Amino acid sequence: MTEPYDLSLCEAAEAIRQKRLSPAELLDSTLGRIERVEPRVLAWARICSEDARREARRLTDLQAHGTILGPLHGIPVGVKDIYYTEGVETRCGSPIMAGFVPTEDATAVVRLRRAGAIVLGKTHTTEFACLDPSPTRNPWALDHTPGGSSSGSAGAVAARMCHGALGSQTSGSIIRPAAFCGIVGLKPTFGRVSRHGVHPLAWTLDHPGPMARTVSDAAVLLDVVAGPDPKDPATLSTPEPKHAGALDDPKAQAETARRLRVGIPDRYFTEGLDPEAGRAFSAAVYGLGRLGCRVQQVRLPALFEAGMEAHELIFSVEVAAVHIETYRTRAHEYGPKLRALIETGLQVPGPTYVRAQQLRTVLIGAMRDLLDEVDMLATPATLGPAPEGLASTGSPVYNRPFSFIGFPSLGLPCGFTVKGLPLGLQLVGRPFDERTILSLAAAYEAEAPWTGEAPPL
Amino acid sequence: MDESPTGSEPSLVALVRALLNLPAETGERFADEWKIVRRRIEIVHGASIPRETEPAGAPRLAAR
Repeated sequence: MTEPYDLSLCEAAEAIRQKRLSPAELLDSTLGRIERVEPRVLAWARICSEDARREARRLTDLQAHGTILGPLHGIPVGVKDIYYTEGVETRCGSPIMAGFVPTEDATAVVRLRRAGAIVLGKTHTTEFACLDPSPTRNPWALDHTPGGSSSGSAGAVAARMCHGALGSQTSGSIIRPAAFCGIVGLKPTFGRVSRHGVHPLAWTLDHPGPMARTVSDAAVLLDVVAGPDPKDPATLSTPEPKHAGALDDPKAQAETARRLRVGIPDRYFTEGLDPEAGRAFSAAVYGLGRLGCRVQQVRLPALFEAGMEAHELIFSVEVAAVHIETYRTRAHEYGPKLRALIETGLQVPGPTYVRAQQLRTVLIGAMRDLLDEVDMLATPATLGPAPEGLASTGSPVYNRPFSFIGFPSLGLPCGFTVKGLPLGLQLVGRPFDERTILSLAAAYEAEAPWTGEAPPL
Repeated sequence: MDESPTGSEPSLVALVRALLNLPAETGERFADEWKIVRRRIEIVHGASIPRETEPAGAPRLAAR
């Protein structure tokens, strides 16, 4: 019999709605799983067992009386430790933030709770969601990185220690760890999910978003956390999201796939690509064709590569600006990679920053034109499988372009290496069209033989 | 030419650091990283971009 912790988010939510499972039973099962595997994976910065048990009892009482708060009623979730959580220390992976206890939840966390989720704890992040790694290990191979910066969220979801989690991406921090850990990561359109209460890394590049075991789970989480928020101006002109409904009907997903044009970029996403990952990507593209998609090569805009350099300049300047107040007095407490980023960011001339933002405008326009030719792009999610060792979280180069232009991207498993490490496929859609990439991803996932596989812990 | 900004124009860099109230013990050179940043600056300024292009990140002023 399937243990409750092993159910997908959607399966668990349905079981709770039908009173076949109570929130307290699900939490007990999940905490038991944590007790068994967390000492090896180290995904959690903080586990709030007592708060979670109290909330599970409350939600179980409500369920018994016929009240279901929302689509996440009784579902245990993890939250990356850069999201503010009322009354719970938020360290951002840095000693500088030790003892910081927010007095309010981030907007995304408020929405999770309102939908009935149980916030089980805070998941490890690299230092300030940047480069210096967290202690988390890859559940598929404990001597490999889980990726970052959303290392703990990816590790916890993959290891079945929660049913979904929040991550964030500024370069590749959702899609890359999702790919390395064999789960689904969704970086929404910039402005789709509020940044309020999420410690900034680089304001104009930061994207909060969900990580989950299945595409449908990610869609439900996105529905819950997305939408306008007066506390984040970037969200105010965004359309109301409705995604998950489209994923209820596999027939409709297959129909959607049949009329889609999928573009394969002519360059960039082959540079540095590991041969095994390349073969898995080719097989995935073949799979999209079998679903009925029309697959064609597309030419990336001429400024694409220059845009990636602009991304890095904007990133370093904004990181320096975020940290300058603290850096004045506590520079020695920063990790070496973040310190180098701050120092170089301080030296980038002002006109260069503006020029980089102009280049961004031009590239966004050119990519909009490209996505008139096709409905979405498909690329490998990463250069290859999770690298061995924990000193680096791997390269974000295949994810960075879509953090730069703000278009939605989704990563999902597309196979395994011979050694058993997961590989990922990345789908990229038009702004605010998460629904189309979710639909195709769900159709692809439904046909994939590895769907539902768990790491050998 | 020295690749590091702190080596090429120390007085200007020192002035900027003083303006930002950054103590002297910070300001490591990170010469390798600076080489990369320098190349990025050259690429961004070498790209053909119309002058009237609005920089991304302009205000989003939703009506209240």
